Amino acid sequence: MSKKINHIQILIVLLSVLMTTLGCADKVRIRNSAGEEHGLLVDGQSNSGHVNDRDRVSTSITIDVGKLRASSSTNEIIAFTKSRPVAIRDNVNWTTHRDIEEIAFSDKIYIPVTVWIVKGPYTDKLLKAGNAAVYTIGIFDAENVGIGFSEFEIINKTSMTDASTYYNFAPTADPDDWKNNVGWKDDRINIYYLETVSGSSTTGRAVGFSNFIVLGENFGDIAVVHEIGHSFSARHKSSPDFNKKCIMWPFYNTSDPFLYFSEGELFRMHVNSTSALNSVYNARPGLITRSCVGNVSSDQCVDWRKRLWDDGVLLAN
Amino acid sequence: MRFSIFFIMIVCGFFLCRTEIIAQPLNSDIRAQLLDYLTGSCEEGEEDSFVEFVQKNEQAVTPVIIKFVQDGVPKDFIKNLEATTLRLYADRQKLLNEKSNFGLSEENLEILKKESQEAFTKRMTKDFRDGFMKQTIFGLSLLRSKDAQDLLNKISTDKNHPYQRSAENALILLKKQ
Ligand SMILES: [Zn+2]
Repeated sequence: MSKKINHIQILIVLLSVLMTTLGCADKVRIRNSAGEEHGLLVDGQSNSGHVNDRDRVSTSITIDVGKLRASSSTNEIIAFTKSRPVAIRDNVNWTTHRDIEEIAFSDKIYIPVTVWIVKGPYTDKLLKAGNAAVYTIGIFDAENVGIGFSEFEIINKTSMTDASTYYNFAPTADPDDWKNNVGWKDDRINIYYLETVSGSSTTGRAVGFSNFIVLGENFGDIAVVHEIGHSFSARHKSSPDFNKKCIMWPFYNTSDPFLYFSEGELFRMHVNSTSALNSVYNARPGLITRSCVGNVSSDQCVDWRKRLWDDGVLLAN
Repeated sequence: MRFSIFFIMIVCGFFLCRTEIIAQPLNSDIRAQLLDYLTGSCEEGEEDSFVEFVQKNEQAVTPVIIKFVQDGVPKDFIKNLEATTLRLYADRQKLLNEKSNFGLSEENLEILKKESQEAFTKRMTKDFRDGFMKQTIFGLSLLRSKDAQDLLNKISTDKNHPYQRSAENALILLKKQ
């Protein structure tokens, strides 16, 4: 009789040990969700070693992320969702127990942009710039960028004195000449509609990845989002992991427009300290910034090719 | 006798075909790259600029550029563009009616909303064609062949040519360098 009880007791103990080690995974609870699908990248320590960017996609606000404990490297949660900026929380206190850690999305960021139309006809360029604003917002919303325009100001400088002096932006041109003579607003991205950039009417350039953008007169409306991406520190992507539908592809074609940002790029656009979002707009005060410029990947920097959702034929990876 | 001529013709044909097949990938690759630069690009510093690309591949791109200048934008591009602009217009009008966070002034929003599909398609197609042709003429100005230079000079003095100003500009830019 007592032997039988002992067997049952041992079985119960074994089962509970098994349940705590296998069954009770840690969870991440999303706060301030807009009720859309969420994507997570989680760092911590698992039984098999350090976990970097374990990915999860779910419509639930409580998401199972597997069993994690504190890692001597990074312990963090990065989250993506529609209409909200990328959220990042570091120093997450993963324990050996069942953790429920929270992450909160900030409100959508609204930024002002000013367009300076230097070469006319003004009405044509107004339509081009307006079209670019709408297309950019369409992409931002579809691609979980979490940014909107508080103002998309369009200024007519076509009749300024010597306007034609500023029509052509040569490879060695000095942005200060445009800033001082055409106009410039320090606190935002400035886009200049010119005639040519480096001799070409279809070329655009965000000089030095800054908030100074120049466009040739036939620059595609669908590609202005690419230049704004540069202002947010994004670099060109032309490896086999990307294709011409990717916004940071170096070439655009209006007959086959851009559509996608990878999550690796979104992460950089938000957290890089050189991104205009931080350096010009200070739109994420008190939030984590990093230096993940270019194609570096580490525990601190999400792989630049990382995709939580499929981007057309490019599958989640 | 007749048979041996026939045989020689087949052998020659075979080798001509082979040369064509071997030569084609390289040329079609350069042509595809050239088309990328002609439809539009961004200068960031990592890739070759258009000028560098044309100079590096001058021999291969010369006949292609001359042909584009003479024939205009490839037909399939325009066909794709027409289909795309219809979609872009529908998307834009839907966004304009559903959302209000574009930061545009009321006046500018109204201007966009009022643009008809026909006007939009016409404007987008012209923008694309102009961009492509101006870039092609800019490419032409970078070529050293006599045919290319003659063609550029001819366009720059032809006041009726739709891209006369582009040719003239390209020549001015060249003189400055
Ligand atoms: Zn670029």
